[in-house]
Amino acid sequence: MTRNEEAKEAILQRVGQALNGGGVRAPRKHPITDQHYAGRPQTDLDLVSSFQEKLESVGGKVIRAQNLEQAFNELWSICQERGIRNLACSDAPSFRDLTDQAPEGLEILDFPHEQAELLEAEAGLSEAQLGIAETGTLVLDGEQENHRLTSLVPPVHIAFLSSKNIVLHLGEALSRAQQARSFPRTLTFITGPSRTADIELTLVVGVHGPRELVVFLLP
Amino acid sequence: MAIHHLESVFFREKVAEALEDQTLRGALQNATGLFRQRRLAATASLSDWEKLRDQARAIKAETLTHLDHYLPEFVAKAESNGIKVHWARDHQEACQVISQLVSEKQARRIVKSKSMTTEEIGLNHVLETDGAEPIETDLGEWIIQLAGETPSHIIVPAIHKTKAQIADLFVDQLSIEPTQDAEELTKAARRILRHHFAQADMGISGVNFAIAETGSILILENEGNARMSTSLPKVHLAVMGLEKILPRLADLEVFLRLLPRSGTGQHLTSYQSILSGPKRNPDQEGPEELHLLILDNGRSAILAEEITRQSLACIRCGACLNACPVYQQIGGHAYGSVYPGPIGAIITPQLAGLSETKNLPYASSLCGACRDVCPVKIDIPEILLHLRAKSVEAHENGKEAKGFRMWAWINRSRFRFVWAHRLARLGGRIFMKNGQPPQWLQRRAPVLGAWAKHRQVPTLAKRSFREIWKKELSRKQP
Repeated sequence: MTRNEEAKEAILQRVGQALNGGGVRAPRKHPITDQHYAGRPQTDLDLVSSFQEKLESVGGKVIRAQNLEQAFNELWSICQERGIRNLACSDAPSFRDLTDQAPEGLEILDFPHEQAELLEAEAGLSEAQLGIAETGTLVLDGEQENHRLTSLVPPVHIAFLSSKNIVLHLGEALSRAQQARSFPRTLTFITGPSRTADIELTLVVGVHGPRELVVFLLP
Repeated sequence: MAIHHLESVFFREKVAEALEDQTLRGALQNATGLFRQRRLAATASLSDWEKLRDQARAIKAETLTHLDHYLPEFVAKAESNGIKVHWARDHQEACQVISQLVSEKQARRIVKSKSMTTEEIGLNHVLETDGAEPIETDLGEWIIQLAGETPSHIIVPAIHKTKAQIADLFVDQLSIEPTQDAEELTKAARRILRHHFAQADMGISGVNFAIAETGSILILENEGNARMSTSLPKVHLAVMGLEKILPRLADLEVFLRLLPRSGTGQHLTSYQSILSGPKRNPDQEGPEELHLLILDNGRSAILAEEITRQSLACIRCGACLNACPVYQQIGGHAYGSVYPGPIGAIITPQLAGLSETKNLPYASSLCGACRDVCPVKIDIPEILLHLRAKSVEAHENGKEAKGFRMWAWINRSRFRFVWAHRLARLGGRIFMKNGQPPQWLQRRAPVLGAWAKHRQVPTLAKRSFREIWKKELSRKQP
């Protein structure tokens, strides 16, 4: 037996003995039988406006767009306004061949990225597969899109989200993820920019992750 | 079983030191007050907060009562997801396993995101001895690491340090331009730590929740350093205590509503990463290897009794620290353990044994503020009393026990009772000065001296109630 097997057996034996030594145990039964968890928002909540309000309350920006073309146009002008010189894109299908569309002076960094390139990128672009109205949260699913680094490393994160994909509460987002054929290897929930208050409780955004989160809400 | 860097035997000395430190006490007042306010506002945003707490407690109770089912279920699922699971019976074994993994992977630079469990086992010390370079990347933890100190709060590790102290530290250690601006200090941290993230051979993180049903681990954070540590390096090692399991993915709904509200007063922290395995193919992002170390280190023994079992329901939110009138005055370092505050006062003795920690269960006025704010309704005062009882049992021939036996003997007889009081009254009249026993007596009678140091010694009345009754009041009866 290897050390690891020995340790596993010993620990599981200790756990079993500890639990079986104290008389009769209640039978194993999950306490939430009706799948109704407490604290859910009211069902008549307007999903889109609640999502926007919650996200803005933690410092996220929301821009509504009529269609993909309008969203990209808006995106290009934001990049130009802020002097963003390059944009690291995830591998989502809508972000293929953006180089032709991008304005002059904006370099499109296609997936996969070299690490050094990513660390230098000035903005990152990803989709979000779901939004959560309860908290203004984006849900990014690693099976749909490689999102981990583009949504994290550059100082500005821009995300495209379809309003149709906004769900009411956390529970719904979790159950959607579980309905997928194989449960995603990586599931990332993002609510606003990166933040810290470790120095005298003073709020500072953009400590390790993006200091800015911009969400384009599409129909 | 043990806790690294345990100094709880010096509790009294550390308390005295903390109480003298006005800067520390000012910082604690501000911080704990602010967190209490934010927590109240955040919990008020939910109409059924109490029901949420009940559900969380019920889910934790179910999991812990049947951990012999849920733990193997989680491990089997995690392994089938491609997570390499390691087991460690105690802190030494945990450090050995990690040392070995580090040397196998030839990892030198290791980025760490916040983990209480790695503090408990003293991992950084061991890695440094091995010649590796562990770098804490949570801003607060990094400050503490640079200062060579230990965290003093579960979620705000550098709560005891002022901006000026941190600025001095950065100027001194990192040669930055002097500044007192939190934003500038944070920028410097971002710049330097990015360099470490880019170079790191391995990332080490903690685990907030482990889901049995899907074999996933969840990490909550605000800064993004945990995402960096778990996404960039080729190898990710997560370290968790064996109690972190939840049965279902759906249960997260409850705990994601509870934990940020209780901890920082947020409705949700900026990031949650639900990780269920290493990358499947070279094109995917994420680490090539995902290792998980499951630690016992005294936890399985806590499961045995129902009264102590609830200690393992703790989700490390820190609300009990902010609510505790004792913590508010003495801060985290006085407890001499990585787990401070009311939760530390029950967890530390249970993990490390009472012999070195017997002061901790007494570091409480039993007011119950901790129980009132605990999101999983741990009855901390009940466990404190339980541990006090154990501590007394273990010292049956201690001074205190002898004193109480003498007291009981005196009070069992009317004669002894009356004469003991007469003697005490006489002694009081002769020796007491301004309500205090004189210095020479305090020195010669150390028990009295220790007791009188922080308390007013009560003076006995000139006559007892019985005497007054006999001489005066009884005559007035019809």
